[in-house]
Amino acid sequence: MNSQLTRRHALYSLGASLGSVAFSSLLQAETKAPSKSDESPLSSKPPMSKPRAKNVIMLFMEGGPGHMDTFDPKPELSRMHKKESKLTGGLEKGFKFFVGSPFKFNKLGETGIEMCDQWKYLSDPFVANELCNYRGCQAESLNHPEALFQMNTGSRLGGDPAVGAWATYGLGTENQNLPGYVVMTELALPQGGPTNWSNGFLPPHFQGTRLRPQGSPILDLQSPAFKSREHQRRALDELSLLNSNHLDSLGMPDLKLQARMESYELAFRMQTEVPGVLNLSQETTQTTEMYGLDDPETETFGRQCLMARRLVENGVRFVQIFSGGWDSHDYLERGHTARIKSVDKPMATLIRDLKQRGMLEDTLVIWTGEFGRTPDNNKRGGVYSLGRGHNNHAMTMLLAGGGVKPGIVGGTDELGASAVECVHPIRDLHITLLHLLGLDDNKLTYFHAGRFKQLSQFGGELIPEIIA
Amino acid sequence: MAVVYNREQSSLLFIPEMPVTFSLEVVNAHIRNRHGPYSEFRTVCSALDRESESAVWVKPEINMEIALQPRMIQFSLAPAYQPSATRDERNRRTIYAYHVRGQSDPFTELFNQPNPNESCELRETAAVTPQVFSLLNSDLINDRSIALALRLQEEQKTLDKQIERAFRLVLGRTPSAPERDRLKKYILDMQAYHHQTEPDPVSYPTQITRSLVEEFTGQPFKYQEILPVFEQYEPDKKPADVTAETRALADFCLLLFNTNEFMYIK
Repeated sequence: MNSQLTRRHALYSLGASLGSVAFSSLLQAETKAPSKSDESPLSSKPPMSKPRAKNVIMLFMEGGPGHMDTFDPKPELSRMHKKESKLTGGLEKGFKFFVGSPFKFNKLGETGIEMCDQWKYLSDPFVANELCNYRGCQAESLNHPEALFQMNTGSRLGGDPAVGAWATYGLGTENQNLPGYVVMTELALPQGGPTNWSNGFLPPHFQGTRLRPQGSPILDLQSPAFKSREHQRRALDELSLLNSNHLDSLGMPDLKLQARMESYELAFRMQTEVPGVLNLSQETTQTTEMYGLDDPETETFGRQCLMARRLVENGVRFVQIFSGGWDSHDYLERGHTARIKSVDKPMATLIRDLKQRGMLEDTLVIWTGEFGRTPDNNKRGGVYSLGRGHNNHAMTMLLAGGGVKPGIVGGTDELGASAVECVHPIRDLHITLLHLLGLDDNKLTYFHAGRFKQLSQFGGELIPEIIA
Repeated sequence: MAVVYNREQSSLLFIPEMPVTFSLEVVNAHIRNRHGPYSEFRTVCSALDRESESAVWVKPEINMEIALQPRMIQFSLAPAYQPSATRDERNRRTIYAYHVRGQSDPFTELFNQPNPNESCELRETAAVTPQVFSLLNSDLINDRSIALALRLQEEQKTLDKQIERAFRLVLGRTPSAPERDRLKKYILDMQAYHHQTEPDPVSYPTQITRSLVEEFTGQPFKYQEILPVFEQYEPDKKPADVTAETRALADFCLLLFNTNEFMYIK
């Protein structure tokens, strides 16, 4: 008889012991499960460490803003304008030439942060002094949907939980009558659609709730018009009775059924709370004008930024706004000028407003795209087309408030082709965001498909340089 | 338009007639949720479970041929989803619904649909508040309630018999006498309520405005998209199409569809 420990057997027993560890920790979780049914998974939970931020507002510039055309000036690139480029790694084929930025740059405020001259409002020192410009982040994918998925969920494949889902999973949310994770888009969704704010394998409590830009902000929030609130109340009372009788007939308590009964009462409360928070008529004309609601070019983003402030003020954990149109392969000057104009005043006002209300300390504001842009372009339609391709080796982002250190962090090479200083993959950015919220990526896990999963996929490191 | 936004992607994605030519996957998840006595949460929207489906999609209304209805919206300018024009085509079984790998449907996700990217050893059965909005207020559930009410009225003449039949169909049992009496009073009260109401007739647009920020200019642009299906659309019976009595009975049906007893299989 062969009693030797075979490799297969060793692996098997190892697996079994890991499995039993996981199982016993699950059992432990089970015994610690909420004894009161009113402790919903969205109840506010203590962070794992001292948090620097309580809430996040993420401004997502879909399409990939050019770093050398916004916050990362490249004078050398301007000198190389229209000279042949031999750079590789992008999507463009054939003859390529360098494209200098059409914009002039200024150094601003106490931190010497740099901005192109199109930022008319963000450049105000009151706002600019709060900004951290991180230039070291690198994406992995050159394609929009995959890059969006990675920035939003940590995985290029799409289908994993979004950052906002992880944050609400870890911290719950302050106001049980509002969703914990709210998403706003333009009329058109960003590429990849709702996968960008999916709860993934986490329970659906943590799914991003999209506020629709037109009509009722949350689909089916209200009952059909011919059913009054009293009508709905009566229906819920009858339903509650049917469910109570059913629960009694089982002869034993069942938290799941009770929780489901309570979700109806919560829904009833949300129906009144949500429209109140979303009603901008409570804001003064001065405020709405500051956010740019009086100008068609800034109206959409301005309304969303103002809404974001109101949501965070009312206890929403994570707010995300998607603004598209940054994919300037051609006519970069025209495209980026218009896009910057559409977000400049609203986001500057948002940061100013948060600061003046004392909310910026607790609120982390992030401005980012899914990747940066190339220093060069190919001839398009036989002509020198002044635009840029997709660049996953370099990008730029702004962070403000919530424990972030203002100033410039990291850097790209002299042409902006690749990050060269303080270089980190997106997972390190995610770990840092969770850290600012008082969450540890290695501990914020969910057992799924045979292993404990985490936002960074498999761990990583903090970016201490951006933390105050 | 298709050409403009198509640079970095395969052109396949932009052929409007074939928006789902890649990565289709048939999702059949109803075998996946087995844990605990009441765990088989019946997903109304994805209708992955045979029994629940037959009850939610009331028999005379359902076409037993399965529906394969891909709704991939890749990029921002894919054509708008249009349902089938006729009730018979539309109200089909969805046991084997097509889902596109990598494209999440917030509605089915809300009802705990597993991610089609990977195998699922244990399904979530969470009951979350936005589910309530769908199960109380959506057109989907209100249309089903009216359909059940109409069937009850066709099959049974008296309110008592209609209540009994509804319990039999939805919950598979007979109501107790107190249950029947209480719900009868509820229906009568709702009849009085609905005699005072006049629901608006439902109309569907035959064209919609689409909008996107265009990358050549950085400016939003708009265009009209026609929805030809709605030229000859045959809607399900709506509140305005039926009597106050039917609407009251539908209120009762809506209750039954929302009960834990129906949602969880013992």
